[in-house]
Amino acid sequence: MGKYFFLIICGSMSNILNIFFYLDITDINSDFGTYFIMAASLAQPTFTSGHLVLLMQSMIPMFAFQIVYGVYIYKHFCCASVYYFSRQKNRTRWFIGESVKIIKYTAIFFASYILTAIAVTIGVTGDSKVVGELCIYTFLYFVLYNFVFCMLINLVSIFTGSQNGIIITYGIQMASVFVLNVFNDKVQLTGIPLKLFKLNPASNLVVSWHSSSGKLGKYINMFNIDFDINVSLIYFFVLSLIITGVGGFIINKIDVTLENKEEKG
Amino acid sequence: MDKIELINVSKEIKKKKILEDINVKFEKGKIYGLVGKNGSGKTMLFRAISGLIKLSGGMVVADGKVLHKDISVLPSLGIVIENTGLYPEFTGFENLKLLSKINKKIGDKEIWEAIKRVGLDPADKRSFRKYSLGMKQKIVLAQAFMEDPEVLLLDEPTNALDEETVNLIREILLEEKEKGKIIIIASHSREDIEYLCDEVYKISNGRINVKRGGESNEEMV
Repeated sequence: MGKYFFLIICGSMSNILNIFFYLDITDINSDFGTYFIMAASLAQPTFTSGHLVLLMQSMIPMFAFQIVYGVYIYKHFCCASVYYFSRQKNRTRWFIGESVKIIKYTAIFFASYILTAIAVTIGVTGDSKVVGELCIYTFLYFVLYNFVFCMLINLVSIFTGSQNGIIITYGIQMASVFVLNVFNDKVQLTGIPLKLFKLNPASNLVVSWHSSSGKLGKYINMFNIDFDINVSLIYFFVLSLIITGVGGFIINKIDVTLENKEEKG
Repeated sequence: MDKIELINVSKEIKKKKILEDINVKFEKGKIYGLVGKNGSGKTMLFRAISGLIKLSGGMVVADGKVLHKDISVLPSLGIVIENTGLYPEFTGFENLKLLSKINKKIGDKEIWEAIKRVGLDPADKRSFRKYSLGMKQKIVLAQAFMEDPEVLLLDEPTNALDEETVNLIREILLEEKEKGKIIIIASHSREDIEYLCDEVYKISNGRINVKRGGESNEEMV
C-alpha cells in the first residue's frame, strides 16, 4: 500500500513541478485541450535546440521513474541471487510476473501524473470539457514508452551493471531527442527523413506531433504531417512485446550467479 | 529425492575449463565432502548441481529428471554459496520471509524456528548489512534449512562461526542426514570433513580425482 501511495504522490508532484517550471500557469484563456497539451504531453513547436532542451527537461520525471524501476528486476541479480533463483522453478513465468508488476507501477505513476494534469488544466482554464481521447493517448504513450525503457535498463544492467545500464539507456533517449535537431529548413519531414522520424522513440512519445482525424486533430497535428496517432501506439506495444520476449529469452540463457556486476551475491 | 547423478559434467567459461568431465553419484542419507584448493571448482560444481549455471557438456540427473531439460533447478534445494549475501536493507527475518514467498511452502512460524535453530534471534531488528560476519553466515544457513529441503549444498558452512555454533551446525547436519537428505559440503575444515562426511571427493583443476570414504577421510584434507 505504501508503495502505491508513494507512486501516486510522486506522479502528481512530477506533473505539478513540470507545470510550475516550464509553463505559463496564468494562461487562463486556453481551452482544456490546448492547455493540457502544454501541461502534460511534452509538446514543443519546433526542433530547435532550445525547444529540444525543454522537451528533455519535461522528461525528467520519466528519467526519475526509470532510475527506480530500471533496477526492479535487475536487483535480484545483485543481492541474494543464489538464494532467489535457486527457488525459481520457472524463470520465464517469474520474468513475465515481474514485467507485469513494472507495467502496473508505470500505469499508477503516469495515471496520477495525467490526473493531476487534468485537475490543474480544469483549475487554470475553468474549462471542464475534458478531451478524454487526448488524456488516454498521452497516458498510454507514457506508460508503454517508460515500460520499454525500464525493461531495457534492467536487461542491459544484467550484462553491464546498473550504472552502465542507466547511462546507455539514457544515452539512447537523449540521442533520440537531440537527433530531431536535424529537421530544419533544409531537411523537411518528408520522404526518408519522415520515415526515420517515425521510427524515433522520442517523436513517437509526443502526442501533439501526431495526426488524427476528428475532434482530437484540432489539438494535435502540430507539424501537419502524416503521423497517425494509433500507429505510435502499435509501435510502442510491439516494442513492449519484443523487449519482454527478448528478456524472457535472456533470463533463461544466462548463468545467474556469474552475471552479477555489482557486488558478491 | 533418492539420488543425484552427474554424468560427464563440464563447464567452460571464456574457453577456460572450470569443470571437466565430472562423473559422480550422490545418494540420500549421506553426507558428502568436497575438498580442494581455492579455485579448484568446488563452488562451480555446486552451481552446476543446483541448476544456477548452464553446463557446457554432460548432464545432472535428479531422480531420473535431467536438469535444464525436465526441471530448471533442483526441486527441493537448500543452498549456501560462500561469500554470497542477502538483501542488505532487510532484517534476517524479512530476508527469509521474502525468499519463502517464492515457493510458499512455509509460514512465519517455520521461518522463526529456522532462525532460532541456528542460534539467532528472529526478532532482531537490525538489517542484514549490520550483522557480523558470523551472524550473516548463520542467517544464510537458516535460509538453506528453513524449507526442509531434500538436498543441501553447503559451501564452507562453518566459515566465520564460533566453536559453539560450529558444533551446533554439525549437529543440525547430522540430524538432517538422519532424515534421509542428500548433503554435500565443500570445506577447508579438516574437522568438518572428518566428523561429518561419509564420502569425500577431492577436486582439483575442475576434475574429481580421488574418492575415499570412512576413516581415510583425514588424508584428503
